Amino acid sequence: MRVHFSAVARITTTIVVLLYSLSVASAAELQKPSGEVLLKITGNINNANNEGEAWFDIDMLKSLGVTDIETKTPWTDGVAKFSGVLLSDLLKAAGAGSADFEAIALNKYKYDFGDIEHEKYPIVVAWQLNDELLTIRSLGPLWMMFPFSDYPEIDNETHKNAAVWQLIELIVY
Amino acid sequence: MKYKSYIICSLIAALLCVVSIAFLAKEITSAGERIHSVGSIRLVNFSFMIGRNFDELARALSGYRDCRLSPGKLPPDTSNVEYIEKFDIVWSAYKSAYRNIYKHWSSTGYWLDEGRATSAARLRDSGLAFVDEYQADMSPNGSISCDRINKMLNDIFLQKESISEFAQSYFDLDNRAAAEQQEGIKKLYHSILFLALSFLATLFLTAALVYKALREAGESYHHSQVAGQKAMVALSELRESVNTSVAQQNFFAAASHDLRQPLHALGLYLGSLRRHISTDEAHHILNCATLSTESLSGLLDSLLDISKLDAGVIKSSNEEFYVHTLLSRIHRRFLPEANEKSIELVCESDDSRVFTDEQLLDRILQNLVSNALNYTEKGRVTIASTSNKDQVVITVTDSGSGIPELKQEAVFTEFYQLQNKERDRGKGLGLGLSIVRRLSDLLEIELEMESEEGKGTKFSIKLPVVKSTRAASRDRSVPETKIALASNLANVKILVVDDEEDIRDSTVIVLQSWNCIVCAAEDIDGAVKIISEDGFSPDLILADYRLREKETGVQAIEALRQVLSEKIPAIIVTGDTSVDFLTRASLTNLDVLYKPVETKELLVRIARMVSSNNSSPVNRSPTNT
Repeated sequence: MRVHFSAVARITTTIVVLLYSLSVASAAELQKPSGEVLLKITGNINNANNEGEAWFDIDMLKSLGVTDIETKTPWTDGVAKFSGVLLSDLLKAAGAGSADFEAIALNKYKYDFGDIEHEKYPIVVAWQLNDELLTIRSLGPLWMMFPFSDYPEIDNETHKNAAVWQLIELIVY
Repeated sequence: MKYKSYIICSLIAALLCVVSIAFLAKEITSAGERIHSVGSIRLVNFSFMIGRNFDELARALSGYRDCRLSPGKLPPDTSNVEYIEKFDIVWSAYKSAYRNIYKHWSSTGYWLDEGRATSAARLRDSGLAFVDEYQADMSPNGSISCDRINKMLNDIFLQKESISEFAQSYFDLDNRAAAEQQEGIKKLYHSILFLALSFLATLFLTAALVYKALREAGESYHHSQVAGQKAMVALSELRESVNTSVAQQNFFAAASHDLRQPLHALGLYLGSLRRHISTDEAHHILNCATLSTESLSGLLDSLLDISKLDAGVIKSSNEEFYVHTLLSRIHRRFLPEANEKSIELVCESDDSRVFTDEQLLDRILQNLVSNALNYTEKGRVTIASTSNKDQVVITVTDSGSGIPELKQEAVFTEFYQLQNKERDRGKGLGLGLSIVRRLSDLLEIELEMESEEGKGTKFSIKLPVVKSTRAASRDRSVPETKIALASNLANVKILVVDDEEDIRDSTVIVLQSWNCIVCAAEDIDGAVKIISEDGFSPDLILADYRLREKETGVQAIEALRQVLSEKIPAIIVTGDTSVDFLTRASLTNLDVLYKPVETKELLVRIARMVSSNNSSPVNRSPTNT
C-alpha cells in the first residue's frame, strides 16, 4: 500500500473493517435459491436458508465473487482454467462454525477436510472449466479445485484426493 | 576392568550404533517404497467407486423399468432424469476421470506389475465400450425399452464382476502391503530400540571410560604429589647430611689445627734440647719423647691426609718412573722398624716403569707396608713388583694374622682396626687403608686384597706398564748427602711471622741453632717495620697462616714482598687443614708446611728453597713421615 496512514487512522480503519465484516457475517440473511440447487452446506452453520441448511444455486454462488485458478491436474490436459467461488468465502457465507468439514460427491465419494490446511490456499469451488460450464459428464457441476501449480507443496496425492468432483454437499462439523 | 576392554566395548557399541543406523536408513527407504505403492490402493478405491456408480445406475434403471411395467406410480419424465444422471456419472468416470487417472498413475509407476496394468487397461476399455454403446439410449427426450434395460443391466452385471475381480486382486495386494507396512513399522521400531540401546551403551561406556581415566589421572597426580613430597624430604635429609659431613670436616680441620700447635712447639723444643743434654739416660728419655712426638705427628698426618683427600685439593701429577726406585726407597725406610720386630722385609722388583703420581703411590705403599709390619708378629713382609706386557703389579705380602673374610671390606673404612681392642694409638688410628682406598681411587689404579685368616694378607696394585724406552724421570727423592750439604744454612736471613709467642720463640731457637740470622714479628705491621725501619732483608719468610685480627700469613707474605719489591721465597706454616684454607693455599702457589713440623723437615724444606731460590713449588704432597 503506497498511501501512508497515520497510526490512529490505520487502527480506526481496521476496527471499522472488522466490525463491518463481522456484521456482514453474522447478520447477513442468506437469500433463498431461485434456480437449480447445486450445493448444500449443512451441519454447524449459522446462515441457513432451508431448514438449517444453506442451499446455493449458481447465481448465489456467483454473487459471492468469482475467482480463477490456472493449474495442471491429472484429470485435464495441459493448464486448465477453473472459475468459481473461493471456498473460504463460501464457508463464510454459510457462517460455518468450524474449519473442519466433509465434502460429498454425487456418487457418494467423501473426503474429510479436517486434515487439510484449506484456509492457507485459495481453493475454489469451480463451476466453469476453461470458460465452459461443468456438467456431470465433465465432472461437474461443481468441482473443488486446488491451485496445484502455484503451490508445489500441495501438489500431492492427499490434496488430489481432496479435489472432489461432482461436489454436492459440505457438512460442517 | 582395564582400559583396553573399556575401549573395545565402546567401539563395539559404537559399531552396533552405526549398524543400526544403516539398518534404520534401509528400512526407512523401503518403507518409503511401500508407501509409494499404496498408490495402487487408491486405484482399488477408484474401482470400487465405479462399481458403486454402476450399482446406482442399475438401481435407477430397474426403478424406471418397474414404473414402465406398472404405470402410474411415477411420471415417466422424472424417472428418466435419474438414470440419465447415473449414466452420466459412469460416463464421466470413464471418459473424464479414468482416462487421465490411468495416464497419471501409469506414468508415476503405480502399476505394480505388467499383468495388473493390462487387466486395468482391459477394464477401462470395456467400461468405455459400455458407455459408448448405451450413450444413444440416454437422450433426455427419448425413452429406453425394457429389453434394452435388461440388456444394459446384464452388461452392468458383467462390468461389475470384472471390476470386483480386478479389485479383489488389488485388495489382496492391499492386505499384503498393509502387512508389510506393519512388519516394516515393527522392524523400524526394533531398529530404533536397538539404536537407542547401543547408543546408550556407547554413552555409558564412554562415560565410564572418561570417569576411570579421570580417576586414574587424579590418583597418579596424588601419587606424584606424594613422591614429590618424599623427594623433598629426601632432599632436605640429604642436605642435612651434607651439612653434617661438612661440619665433620670443619671439626677435623679445627681439631688437627689445635693439636698441631703444641705438638709443633714440642717438636721444636725437643730438637733444640738435644744440644743441651749430655747423659745417656737423658738422651734415651729424649729419644723416647721424640718417638712419641713422631708417633703423635703420624696420627695427625693420617687425619690431615683424609681431610685433604676429602677436600679434593690433592690432584695427581703423573710422571714416568722406575718402580724399583720407589720400592727400594720404601724398603730402606721400613728396614729399621722391621729389624726391630725381627721381621724379614724383602724387596723384589723388576725394572719396569710406570706412569702415575710417584708421591701418592709412595704414600699408598707406605701405608700398606706400615700396616703389614703392624699386623705381622713373625715371618716376612715382601714388597715386590712383577710385570707382563700390559701391566705392572706391585704387591705387599705379609705372613701376619690375616683378615677374616667377613671383615675384609670393613678394613677399608675409617678408624677400623683389627686386633686393637685396647685402642693402642701406637698402632695408628685405623685410617691407613681408607687413605689407601681414597688414593687408589684418585689415581684410578686397581687395588686388590687377598687375605686368609692366620696365613697373611696380600695387597696388589695394578698399574699400566709404560712401553717406551724413553728414560725415566729423575729420581725426585732428595739424597741424604744433599740434605747434609743443604743443612748448612749459616747466615741465611729468615723472617718469622707468628702471633703465638711459644711457637715464635721455639722456631727462632731452632733456626738460630742452624746458624741462621732470624728476626721475628707477631703481625704484618711488625714484620714490615723490621724490614723498612731495621733494614733487615730476609732470604726467606716463614709465616704462620693464622695471624691476629683475621690477618693471614698469605697477606703478610704479599705485604712483605711488596715492601721488598722482590718475590723472595716464603713458607706458610699452619695447623689449619680446613678445606677453604687448603683450596686457597693451592691457588696462591705458596709452599705450605703443616704443623707439627719436624725440625728435620723444616731444615730440608728451607735448604731446598734457599738453594733453588724458587719460591713457588706447588704444594700437593701429603706430609712425609
